[in-house]
Amino acid sequence: MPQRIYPIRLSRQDRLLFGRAAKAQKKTIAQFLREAGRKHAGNVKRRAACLDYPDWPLSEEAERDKDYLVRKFKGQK
Amino acid sequence: MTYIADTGFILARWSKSPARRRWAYRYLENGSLPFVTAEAALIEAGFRLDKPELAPRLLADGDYVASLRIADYSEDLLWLLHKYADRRMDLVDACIVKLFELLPDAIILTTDVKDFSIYRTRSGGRLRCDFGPD
Repeated sequence: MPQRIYPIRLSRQDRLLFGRAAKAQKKTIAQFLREAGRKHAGNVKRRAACLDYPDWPLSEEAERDKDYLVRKFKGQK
Repeated sequence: MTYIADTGFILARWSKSPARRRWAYRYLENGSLPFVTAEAALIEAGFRLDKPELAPRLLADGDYVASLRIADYSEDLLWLLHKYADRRMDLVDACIVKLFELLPDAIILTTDVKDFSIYRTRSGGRLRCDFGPD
Protein backbone atom coordinates (compact mmCIF):
# COMPACT_ATOMS: atom_id res chain seq x y z
CA MET A 1 0.00 0.00 0.00
CA PRO A 2 1.44 3.46 -0.88
CA GLN A 3 2.40 5.53 2.15
CA ARG A 4 3.11 9.18 2.72
CA ILE A 5 5.11 10.74 5.51
CA TYR A 6 3.66 13.75 7.32
CA PRO A 7 6.24 15.26 9.68
CA ILE A 8 4.48 17.11 12.49
CA ARG A 9 5.73 19.49 15.16
CA LEU A 10 4.58 18.75 18.70
CA SER A 11 4.81 21.07 21.65
CA ARG A 12 6.69 19.70 24.66
CA GLN A 13 3.39 19.22 26.50
CA ASP A 14 1.79 17.34 23.65
CA ARG A 15 4.84 15.18 23.16
CA LEU A 16 4.76 14.23 26.84
CA LEU A 17 0.99 13.74 26.82
CA PHE A 18 0.95 11.57 23.71
CA GLY A 19 4.16 9.79 24.67
CA ARG A 20 2.83 8.76 28.09
CA ALA A 21 -0.53 7.68 26.69
CA ALA A 22 1.13 5.70 23.89
CA LYS A 23 3.54 4.04 26.32
CA ALA A 24 0.65 3.04 28.59
CA GLN A 25 -0.95 1.30 25.63
CA LYS A 26 2.38 -0.20 24.53
CA LYS A 27 2.29 1.73 21.26
CA THR A 28 4.60 4.13 19.51
CA ILE A 29 3.51 7.78 19.35
CA ALA A 30 2.95 7.34 15.60
CA GLN A 31 0.67 4.32 16.15
CA PHE A 32 -1.18 6.17 18.88
CA LEU A 33 -1.76 9.25 16.71
CA ARG A 34 -2.82 7.19 13.69
CA GLU A 35 -5.42 5.31 15.71
CA ALA A 36 -6.70 8.47 17.40
CA GLY A 37 -6.95 10.16 13.99
CA ARG A 38 -8.92 7.27 12.49
CA LYS A 39 -11.30 7.22 15.43
CA HIS A 40 -11.87 10.96 15.27
CA ALA A 41 -12.27 11.04 11.48
CA GLY A 42 -15.08 8.49 11.68
CA ASN A 43 -17.14 10.84 13.86
CA VAL A 44 -16.70 13.98 11.79
CA LYS A 45 -19.79 14.99 9.86
CA ARG A 46 -18.89 16.28 6.44
CA ARG A 47 -20.65 17.30 3.28
CA ALA A 48 -20.70 14.69 0.53
CA ALA A 49 -18.45 15.48 -2.43
CA CYS A 50 -21.14 14.43 -4.93
CA LEU A 51 -23.10 17.58 -4.05
CA ASP A 52 -20.43 19.46 -6.01
CA TYR A 53 -20.63 17.19 -9.06
CA PRO A 54 -22.34 18.63 -12.15
CA ASP A 55 -26.13 18.53 -12.30
CA TRP A 56 -26.19 15.68 -14.80
CA PRO A 57 -29.57 15.15 -16.41
CA LEU A 58 -31.47 12.09 -15.17
CA SER A 59 -34.64 11.10 -16.98
CA GLU A 60 -37.60 9.95 -14.96
CA GLU A 61 -37.48 6.64 -16.83
CA ALA A 62 -33.80 6.07 -15.96
CA GLU A 63 -34.49 6.89 -12.33
CA ARG A 64 -37.70 4.99 -11.70
CA ASP A 65 -38.11 2.16 -14.19
CA LYS A 66 -36.55 -1.09 -12.97
CA ASP A 67 -36.46 -2.49 -16.51
CA TYR A 68 -34.71 0.57 -17.93
CA LEU A 69 -31.30 -1.11 -18.02
CA VAL A 70 -32.61 -4.22 -19.76
CA ARG A 71 -34.16 -2.06 -22.47
CA LYS A 72 -31.00 0.05 -22.71
CA PHE A 73 -28.79 -3.00 -23.28
CA LYS A 74 -31.20 -4.57 -25.76
CA GLY A 75 -31.35 -1.28 -27.66
CA GLN A 76 -27.56 -1.26 -28.00
CA LYS A 77 -27.50 -4.63 -29.80
CA MET B 1 -25.56 5.66 12.49
CA THR B 2 -24.72 3.51 9.49
CA TYR B 3 -26.71 3.97 6.27
CA ILE B 4 -26.89 1.44 3.45
CA ALA B 5 -27.51 3.15 0.12
CA ASP B 6 -29.53 1.52 -2.65
CA THR B 7 -29.31 2.73 -6.27
CA GLY B 8 -32.39 4.94 -5.85
CA PHE B 9 -30.71 6.91 -3.07
CA ILE B 10 -27.43 7.26 -4.97
CA LEU B 11 -29.40 8.70 -7.92
CA ALA B 12 -31.75 10.87 -5.84
CA ARG B 13 -29.20 13.71 -5.78
CA TRP B 14 -29.90 14.09 -9.55
CA SER B 15 -33.64 13.40 -9.35
CA LYS B 16 -36.11 15.58 -11.23
CA SER B 17 -38.35 15.42 -8.16
CA PRO B 18 -37.53 18.32 -5.79
CA ALA B 19 -38.84 16.33 -2.81
CA ARG B 20 -36.53 13.44 -3.60
CA ARG B 21 -33.58 15.78 -4.03
CA ARG B 22 -34.30 17.38 -0.67
CA TRP B 23 -34.43 13.92 0.91
CA ALA B 24 -31.01 13.04 -0.55
CA TYR B 25 -29.50 16.42 0.38
CA ARG B 26 -30.62 15.98 3.99
CA TYR B 27 -28.34 12.93 4.26
CA LEU B 28 -25.59 14.11 1.93
CA GLU B 29 -25.13 17.47 3.65
CA ASN B 30 -24.91 16.18 7.17
CA GLY B 31 -24.87 12.42 7.09
CA SER B 32 -22.51 9.94 8.59
CA LEU B 33 -20.22 9.45 5.64
CA PRO B 34 -19.31 7.22 4.02
CA PHE B 35 -22.56 5.51 3.08
CA VAL B 36 -22.29 1.76 2.79
CA THR B 37 -23.31 0.20 -0.50
CA ALA B 38 -22.47 -2.56 -2.96
CA GLU B 39 -20.35 -2.09 -6.08
CA ALA B 40 -23.31 -3.38 -8.09
CA ALA B 41 -25.45 -0.44 -6.86
CA LEU B 42 -22.79 2.12 -7.80
CA ILE B 43 -22.32 0.57 -11.23
CA GLU B 44 -26.10 0.49 -11.82
CA ALA B 45 -26.37 4.16 -10.81
CA GLY B 46 -23.59 5.04 -13.27
CA PHE B 47 -25.39 3.21 -16.09
CA ARG B 48 -28.71 4.88 -15.32
CA LEU B 49 -27.07 8.29 -15.22
CA ASP B 50 -24.98 7.44 -18.29
CA LYS B 51 -21.83 8.39 -16.37
CA PRO B 52 -19.29 5.54 -16.23
CA GLU B 53 -17.11 7.72 -14.01
CA LEU B 54 -19.74 7.82 -11.26
CA ALA B 55 -18.76 4.68 -9.30
CA PRO B 56 -14.98 5.26 -9.18
CA ARG B 57 -15.52 8.96 -8.44
CA LEU B 58 -17.90 8.38 -5.54
CA LEU B 59 -15.53 5.78 -4.09
CA ALA B 60 -12.44 7.96 -4.58
CA ASP B 61 -14.16 10.93 -2.92
CA GLY B 62 -15.13 8.79 0.06
CA ASP B 63 -18.89 9.41 -0.15
CA TYR B 64 -19.52 5.66 -0.39
CA VAL B 65 -17.73 2.45 0.52
CA ALA B 66 -18.43 -0.74 -1.40
CA SER B 67 -18.61 -3.20 1.46
CA LEU B 68 -19.75 -6.40 -0.20
CA ARG B 69 -17.70 -8.64 -2.42
CA ILE B 70 -20.05 -10.85 -4.41
CA ALA B 71 -17.54 -13.72 -4.31
CA ASP B 72 -17.58 -13.71 -0.49
CA TYR B 73 -21.35 -14.10 -0.25
CA SER B 74 -22.27 -15.82 -3.50
CA GLU B 75 -24.25 -18.59 -1.78
CA ASP B 76 -26.31 -16.15 0.29
CA LEU B 77 -26.96 -13.97 -2.74
CA LEU B 78 -28.08 -16.97 -4.79
CA TRP B 79 -30.40 -17.99 -1.96
CA LEU B 80 -32.01 -14.53 -1.90
CA LEU B 81 -32.31 -14.35 -5.70
CA HIS B 82 -33.98 -17.78 -5.69
CA LYS B 83 -36.32 -16.91 -2.82
CA TYR B 84 -37.53 -13.73 -4.51
CA ALA B 85 -37.44 -15.01 -8.09
CA ASP B 86 -41.18 -14.32 -8.38
CA ARG B 87 -40.50 -10.63 -7.72
CA ARG B 88 -37.59 -10.67 -10.20
CA MET B 89 -35.19 -9.55 -7.48
CA ASP B 90 -32.05 -8.13 -9.05
CA LEU B 91 -28.48 -8.55 -7.84
CA VAL B 92 -28.32 -5.04 -6.37
CA ASP B 93 -31.38 -5.69 -4.19
CA ALA B 94 -29.90 -9.00 -3.03
CA CYS B 95 -26.63 -7.25 -2.13
CA ILE B 96 -28.50 -4.57 -0.15
CA VAL B 97 -30.49 -7.18 1.80
CA LYS B 98 -27.24 -9.07 2.49
CA LEU B 99 -25.56 -5.87 3.68
CA PHE B 100 -28.43 -5.33 6.11
CA GLU B 101 -27.91 -8.85 7.45
CA LEU B 102 -24.26 -7.96 8.03
CA LEU B 103 -25.10 -4.54 9.54
CA PRO B 104 -28.39 -5.11 11.39
CA ASP B 105 -28.34 -1.71 13.12
CA ALA B 106 -28.13 0.17 9.83
CA ILE B 107 -30.92 1.95 7.94
CA ILE B 108 -31.43 1.23 4.24
CA LEU B 109 -31.92 4.33 2.08
CA THR B 110 -33.99 3.28 -0.91
CA THR B 111 -36.81 4.55 -3.10
CA ASP B 112 -38.04 1.04 -3.93
CA VAL B 113 -41.02 0.73 -1.59
CA LYS B 114 -42.70 -2.02 -3.62
CA ASP B 115 -39.87 -4.53 -3.21
CA PHE B 116 -38.12 -3.52 0.00
CA SER B 117 -41.32 -3.64 2.02
CA ILE B 118 -41.61 -7.32 0.99
CA TYR B 119 -38.00 -8.48 1.32
CA ARG B 120 -36.90 -10.10 4.56
CA THR B 121 -33.52 -11.19 5.88
CA ARG B 122 -32.67 -14.86 5.72
CA SER B 123 -33.80 -15.24 9.34
CA GLY B 124 -37.13 -13.59 8.49
CA GLY B 125 -36.37 -10.17 9.94
CA ARG B 126 -37.90 -6.99 8.54
CA LEU B 127 -35.62 -4.46 6.89
CA ARG B 128 -35.33 -0.99 8.45
CA CYS B 129 -35.73 1.44 5.55
CA ASP B 130 -36.13 5.12 4.86
CA PHE B 131 -38.00 5.15 1.55
CA GLY B 132 -37.96 8.89 1.03
CA PRO B 133 -40.70 10.67 -0.89
CA ASP B 134 -42.18 9.18 -4.07
